[in-house]
Amino acid sequence: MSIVKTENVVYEYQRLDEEGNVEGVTTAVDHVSLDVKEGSFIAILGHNGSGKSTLAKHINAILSPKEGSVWVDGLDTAQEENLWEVRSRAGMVFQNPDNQIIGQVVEEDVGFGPENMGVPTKEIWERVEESLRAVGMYEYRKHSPNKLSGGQKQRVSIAGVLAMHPKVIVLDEPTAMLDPTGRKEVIRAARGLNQVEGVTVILITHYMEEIVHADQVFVMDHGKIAMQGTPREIFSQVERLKELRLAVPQVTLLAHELKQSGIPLPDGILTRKELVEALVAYKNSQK
Amino acid sequence: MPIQIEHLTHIYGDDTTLAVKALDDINLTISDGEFIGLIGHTGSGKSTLVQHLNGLLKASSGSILFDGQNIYDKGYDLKALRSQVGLVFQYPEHQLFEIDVFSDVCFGPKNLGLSEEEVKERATKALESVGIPKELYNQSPFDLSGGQKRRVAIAGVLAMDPKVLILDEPTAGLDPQGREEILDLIKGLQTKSHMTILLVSHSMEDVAEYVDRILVMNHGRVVYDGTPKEVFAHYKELEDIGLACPQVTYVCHDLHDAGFDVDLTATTVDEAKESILRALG
Repeated sequence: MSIVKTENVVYEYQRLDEEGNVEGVTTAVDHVSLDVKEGSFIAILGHNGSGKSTLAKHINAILSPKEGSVWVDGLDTAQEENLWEVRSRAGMVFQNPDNQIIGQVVEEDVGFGPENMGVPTKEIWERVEESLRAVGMYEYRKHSPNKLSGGQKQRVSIAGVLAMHPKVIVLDEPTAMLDPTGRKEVIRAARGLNQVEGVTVILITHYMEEIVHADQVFVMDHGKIAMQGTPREIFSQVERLKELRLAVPQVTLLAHELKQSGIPLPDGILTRKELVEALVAYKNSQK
Repeated sequence: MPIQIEHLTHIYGDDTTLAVKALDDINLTISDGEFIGLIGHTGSGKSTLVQHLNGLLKASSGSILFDGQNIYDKGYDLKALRSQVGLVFQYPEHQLFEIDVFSDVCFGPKNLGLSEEEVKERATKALESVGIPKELYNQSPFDLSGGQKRRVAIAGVLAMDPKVLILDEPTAGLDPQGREEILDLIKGLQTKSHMTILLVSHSMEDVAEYVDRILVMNHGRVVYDGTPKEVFAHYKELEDIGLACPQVTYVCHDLHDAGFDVDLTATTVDEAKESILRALG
């Protein structure tokens, strides 16, 4: 079943001169149609300015399409009366954790969303507990958010969204400001939500290593979907990705370079384990 | 313009119950023309350290010698120091404010009290060195792409004509090619303009590829100081302090365990490739 569906979505930013007249128009999203299945882990890639974030903001109705339609769990996001429902079913986590945390205490911050939805107090506490446990931050529930590391803060942000019981979570470059451990923690938390809680995850990132486990990858360019497929299909096309200002994970690049040097390796190697196994198999076949 | 850091300690909230020791007896020498990578997990003291180097923060104890002179000496010209040590903060494009690109880059040198002609000359040179074409000079900086904005912001610091350039995560939030462009640009400032570069980064792959020397910080101390090969040889210890090795280094370790005679100190794709090809004969 599809949880997020877009059909021919177009969104334009208008540039205004000092008198407020339209000076120019930038089409940020250009006839995008995609269908995200409930329970899947989706990644969206694309260079800066390719339209990823603009598209993402349509999923919880921060933006409404100029043309075309967006449905979240069957609800049309352009209908004013659907706004609350859409936003409680599709949550969003942004790049900078410091811009999303408002509570003085971790558990208070996580309870903010459900409280605003009018959830009964007893249930708020239950939701706070289960959300913090899901992202591995329960021991920090009494801490002050500003004493946490970047990765911990970002996991609190995710818990805050999770406490609203969304069906889909959009993460817009959640790891851009984090150190290696923080990145790992956040990606692990996102995969946990997807696999254990069954929440649909849409991850936008510039780190190619983070999406090797995704079910499907969409690559955007100039507001359009330029490529789509499994990580293996996408990362097999090293040269095409370079044209789109992207890259492949370092392991995939190493495999690609070895192949260019005459070692017969399969295309689209994604993990250390795969590369090592392929090289061992090759070495044994040489004996 | 060597920098010597001696017994530098910084305590936030000293004399209060909330005192936190952010820097703990740092001793370092940074020589002219070095390209240094500074790594460490969030909260390890990296940003606190770099803010001492141009006098934005004052040490609780210890000294910093810039060209042999202690910057904490009475009467030391901190303003001059700040024009010689350029600091590019995280997300520097948030500091763009002028009506067009050229005026924004002129702001720094104008405040140094230079003649209009010299200001313009410096701004042009700085914009050229970051690869911003003339057509964009009169555009609003807010109409540029993310990568362009960041390069304009870096040009604003370069126009001060610094001898030492410190960049705090200059590639955060950029796409892979944008990252490469910024890093190539920084490398060029070292090799062509002979600047001393201190790069704060969370990307082990980038640091391995570009820098000559790595400083690793943990709990306010410098725990490793060496070439990428030397530092990444401690990959287990690095993981314990929230860091990692470049992916290809892990691949070489895995291959070694699987009986390949590969170089365990490979830290870049090229090094790993050569080593694996050799091992395969």
